[in-house]
Order: sequence, then C-alpha cells, then structure tokens
Amino acid sequence: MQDFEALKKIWQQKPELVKRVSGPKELSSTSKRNKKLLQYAQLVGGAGQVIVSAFISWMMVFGNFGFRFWYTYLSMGMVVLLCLLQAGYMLYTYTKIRAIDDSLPPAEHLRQWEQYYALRQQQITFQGPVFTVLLSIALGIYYIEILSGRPFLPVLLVVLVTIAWILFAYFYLGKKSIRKETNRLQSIIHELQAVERQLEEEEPSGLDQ
Amino acid sequence: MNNMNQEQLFTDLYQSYSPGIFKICLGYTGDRSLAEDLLQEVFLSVWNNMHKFRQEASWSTWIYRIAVNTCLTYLRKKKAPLVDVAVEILGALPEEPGTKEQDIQLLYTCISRLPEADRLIIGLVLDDKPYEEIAAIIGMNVNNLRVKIHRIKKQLTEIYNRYARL
Repeated sequence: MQDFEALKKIWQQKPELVKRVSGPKELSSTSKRNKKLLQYAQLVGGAGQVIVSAFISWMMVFGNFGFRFWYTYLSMGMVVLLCLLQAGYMLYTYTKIRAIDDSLPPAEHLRQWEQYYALRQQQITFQGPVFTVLLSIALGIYYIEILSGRPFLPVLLVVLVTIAWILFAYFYLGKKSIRKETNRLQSIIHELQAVERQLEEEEPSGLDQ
Repeated sequence: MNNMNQEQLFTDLYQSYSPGIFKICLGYTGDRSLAEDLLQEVFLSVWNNMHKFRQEASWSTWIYRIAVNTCLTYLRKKKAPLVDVAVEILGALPEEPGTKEQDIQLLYTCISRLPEADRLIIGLVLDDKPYEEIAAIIGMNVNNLRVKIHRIKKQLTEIYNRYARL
C-alpha cells in the first residue's frame, strides 16, 4: 500500500532523459496538433490561390489568345483579383490563428479560441457565397466570347458542366472542408471547456497543505 | 534582445525545464513517443513566443502554461477511459516486476487515466511546484486548488494501489 509521498518519490527518483537540443533549429515535431493543422490549411490554401492567379495572369499577358472584347480580359482579371483576395483573406486568418497566445491560463486561452471561432463563422457565412457568386459572374462573362457562334449543344454542355462543377465545389467540397475545419475548432473548444468545467466543479470537502 | 542572446536564453530554458515538462507530457498522454512530440511542440511554441514574454510571470510559470495549453489542444485519436483499464496498464508494463521502471510506468499510466485538468495539476504537484505557482499556471484560486489537489491525490493513490496489487 503506497501513500502519496511514496508516489512522489517514484516520480522524482528517475530523471527523464530528453533529447539534447542546442538551439531552436534542432526542434521538430510530427504531432498532429489542431492548431498546426488549422494554420497549415490556411497557408496551403492561400499559396494555391496565389499560384492560380499567377497562372491566369501569365495567360492574360503571354497567352496570345487575341480576344476581341475587352470584357473577356476583364473577366480573367476578375478571377485573378478574386484569387488574390481569397489568398489575402486566408493569410489574415492564418495570422489570427498564430496570434492565439498559448502562454495564457487555460480559461483565457479558451476565450481566444471562442473569439476566433466566432470570427471564422462570420467569415464562412459571408465569404463563401460572395466568392462563389462573383466567380460565377466572371466565368459567365468569359463564356460570352468563348462560346459565341458555337453550335447550341456543345455550348449547353459546357454551361451545364460548369454550373455542375460550381455547385459541386460549393455544396460538397466547400462544405466538407468547412466541416473539417469546424470539427477541429470545436474539438479544441470542447477540450478547453471540459477542462474549464473540471477546474470549476469542486466541492470544498477537504483541504491540502 | 539580439538573436544570439535569444538562442542562448532558449537553450538555457530548454535545459532547465525540458525534463519537468516531459514528465508532465508523459503523465498527460501516458505515451512516450507522444510526450516527446509534445515536448518539441511546447519548445517550438516557446521559441516562437519568446518576444511576447513580458516578465509579468516567471519563465517557469510562462513555459508551464504553454505546456498545459499545448497538451490540452493536441489532436487525440481516441479518448482513453478514465479507470478500469487493468489489462491495458499491465500490458504496458516492463516484464521485470517490482522494478523502478515498472513503478514509474505504472504511475504515468495511472495519471493518464485521470481527467485532463487533474493530470496536469498532479504532474505539477509531483514535481514539487509551489501551490501559488500551480494556481498561476492553471489560472485558479489557491484555496480552490488546495481542495482539488487533496481530492486528486486521494484518487491517484487509490488507482495506483488498485493496479499495483494486480
């Protein structure tokens, strides 16, 4: 039968050997922390948008398509602008996650995550539909010149495939990605709320020290 | 603070606090490889946030808070049940019975079966941190903390003795 002092001796009897590190560059981590995953998703998404906008810009300048109407170039410019806005927006979100201070007590740490969650919910509700509508308008303008004078059936097919893709991207891919992000955020918040409850729920039945 | 001084300070902090933080992570997860990963994660966060340190708390309190929050927000694949895990505990023990290694492994495993907040608090208590500092790390009143620690000590001792007899 061991008492608590005996457990303390067990804990203290053997110093744990940890990896020796002579600077921050030697640190690496493979842990799948929620915060890291959330940051990573924003960073990769933002970088992807920049690459797409660079590619479309390159096509506009060097593609030599010889479009007759100015608004066809306008539509390509709109897509580039939308991608850049989306990239900036993702970078902003990334900095918001980075700004969450891990050195605060758990309850204050929880408040920061709750504030971030509220901000993200506002962004998701507004940004997703607006981005989709503007992208659809840009594509619609682009198709005016691209599809004009072509046989009806191929035109109909292209338009239907494009609409189907936009609906699939918005209602399936987009929602799936948001659901994943929301689950991660909720997992952090639930964990911290559970701990907050554990810290609050204590009946004063005994004292120590 | 220039980069060279900051790196030297970081190395000193790592040497001073990494063994204690590692034990806290080990008690929290009950898993050595996860604890090693969490330790690296904690000190990456320490390095990235050193410029935010305002000396409102000691380095110890500041680093242990990062450790507590890092433990609380890491992604877990499944939640371990709190108690009644005799088979799992015995399976994790070294083959040689009654050794120091077996005792410490059993202790880590028993701690990892407590509720999350309790695991972190008891790790700090076992490390002989003053109650005032633990209260500052966790962010709770010292009197409430005393009550809580009294209850956790009792619970941990009971779990340990129950499985030590098996």
